[in-house]
Amino acid sequence: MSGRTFYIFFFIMAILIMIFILVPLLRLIFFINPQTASVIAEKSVIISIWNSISLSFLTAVIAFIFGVPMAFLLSKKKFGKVQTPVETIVDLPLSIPHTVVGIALLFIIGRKEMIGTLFYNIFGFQMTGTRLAIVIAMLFVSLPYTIDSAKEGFKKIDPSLEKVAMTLGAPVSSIFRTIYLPLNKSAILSGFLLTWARAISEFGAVVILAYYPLTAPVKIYQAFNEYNLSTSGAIAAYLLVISLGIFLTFRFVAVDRKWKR
Amino acid sequence: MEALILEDINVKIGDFRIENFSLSVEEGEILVVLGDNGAGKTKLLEAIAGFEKIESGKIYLQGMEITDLPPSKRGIGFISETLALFPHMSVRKNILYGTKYNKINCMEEKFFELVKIFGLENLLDRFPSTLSTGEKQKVAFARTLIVDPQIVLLDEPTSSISIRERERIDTEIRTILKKFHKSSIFVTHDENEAFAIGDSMAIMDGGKILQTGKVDDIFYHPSSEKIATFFGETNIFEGYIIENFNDEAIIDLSGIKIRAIGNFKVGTHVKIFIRPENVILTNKIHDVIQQNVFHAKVLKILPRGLFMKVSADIGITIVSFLTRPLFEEMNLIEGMELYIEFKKTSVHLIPD
Repeated sequence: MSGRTFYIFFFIMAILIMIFILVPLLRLIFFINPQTASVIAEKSVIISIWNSISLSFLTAVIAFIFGVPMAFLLSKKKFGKVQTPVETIVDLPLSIPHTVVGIALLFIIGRKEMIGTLFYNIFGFQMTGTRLAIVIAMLFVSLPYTIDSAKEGFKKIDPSLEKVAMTLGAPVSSIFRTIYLPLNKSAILSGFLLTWARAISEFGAVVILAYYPLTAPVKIYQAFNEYNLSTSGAIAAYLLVISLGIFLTFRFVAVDRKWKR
Repeated sequence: MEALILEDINVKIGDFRIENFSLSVEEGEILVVLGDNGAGKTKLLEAIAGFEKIESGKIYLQGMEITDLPPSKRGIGFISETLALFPHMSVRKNILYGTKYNKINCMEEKFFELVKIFGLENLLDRFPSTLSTGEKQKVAFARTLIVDPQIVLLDEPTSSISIRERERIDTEIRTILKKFHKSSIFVTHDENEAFAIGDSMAIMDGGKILQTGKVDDIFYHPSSEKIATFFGETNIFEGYIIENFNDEAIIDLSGIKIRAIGNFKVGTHVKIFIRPENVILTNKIHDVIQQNVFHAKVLKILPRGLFMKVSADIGITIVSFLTRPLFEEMNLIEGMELYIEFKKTSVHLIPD
């Protein structure tokens, strides 16, 4: 096969992938039209979309706070002999069916389970069926994205930067703040966005831990079951546009590239 | 006075070991550590800087033990192979980085003095990615020198620079270190660079020091064949002492007799080293007493950069380097007969 044919062949496959991804999404966007405007105006739909976006954002923030330090430790191989097991554990949620995650979490935070009971005794209400439960479900399935992305980013930073900073007298906390964090901004941001996106899309674990308050994916599923395809399609289309809008904005606005060539 | 003393240090990094390593650097001296890749040069610097823990032994800097101090408290400057400028900071911020963590008298003045010395006035707001390698080097030096380290460690800082440019930068580095009167250890695998920069030299191999001394001493009096070959091609022979009086040794070398300086027992087997640039080709005999003189026949002529490499038969095959103008003046051709001379003092002997 000549080089030219080889690339033509590969490009055809690449184009098929683009079509595969874009066609269903474009088709869905056509549901946004005057006829479906009433669907989106309905309060429960707006609340479900708001739930999805705000709770998944909160999830991404929590994942950032806990995940970035962990990613740093992993990137520096600070776990020594248990490095590989720890990395495997961090990535476990990626390989577990999300309904299984839901059930597993239910056994911990359910009304009659250990954390669930403790929580009930302290706060006087049960965790399942609350926004808290939704965040827990989202966090479990999406945390690996923050950690993996930040970890890979930290690894790419030239270790001699840290060494030089040390010899210049900087303590490790300052080196983390002045060197590692700013240089890893784009990997961390991309991990944040992936986590957020993953959390928005979470259905399996959320539906088990908290059917109510409805998130958008659950609302879409409910509409699909109880009403008709065009109602659920309309909600889906609005969710798609809103989330795409947010992510694209973040991606292009927040990444600072002025020092890169 | 010694600026830095390593006393019998042992370091283990993965499978690599630096064993019973001792070394000292005089105040204001530039010590070059020369060794092949994998000799442990970088690891040695990392141990001195404190990035790698040492298993045993002691490190003293200006008479103070620093063996257990963290890198940030040692007062050691470090210039790495990559120069390690912080890519997200301007030149100004790079240079000032260490000033946040060190007490510096007259900081402003010092900053502007360094900027002036290195000619960085117009680059202060630029980012490292827009600088040339030479400019980056200057920023790295300014950043290191502003915190006034007691010794500067340089880990092959010119390895990414073309050989042509390296000579110029080496001279600059030496000038800077001398100007600031900084004791330093400069690590390299390039023997030419070692000559250009070092006051003294330590040859390192497999985590051990093979020889230390003044640069010329090591070059003309290598302590082993391995070191002799570090500095490019050289003449190495084996023979034994047949006469020795008044500091003059006569060596039998496959039947021919060579005069050298040294005191050996008659019968001692020796390795004989003669630098090719000290082997002189001539059409007529000069001073017979001072020299070893042999009738020779040219075997092979090969160009070697600035020099011509001439192999000649004097009973054994000996190699001479001569400059191209001299080569052309002599009209040398293969098979030509002439004389070869070298001084007694050019012959270096090591008992075998």
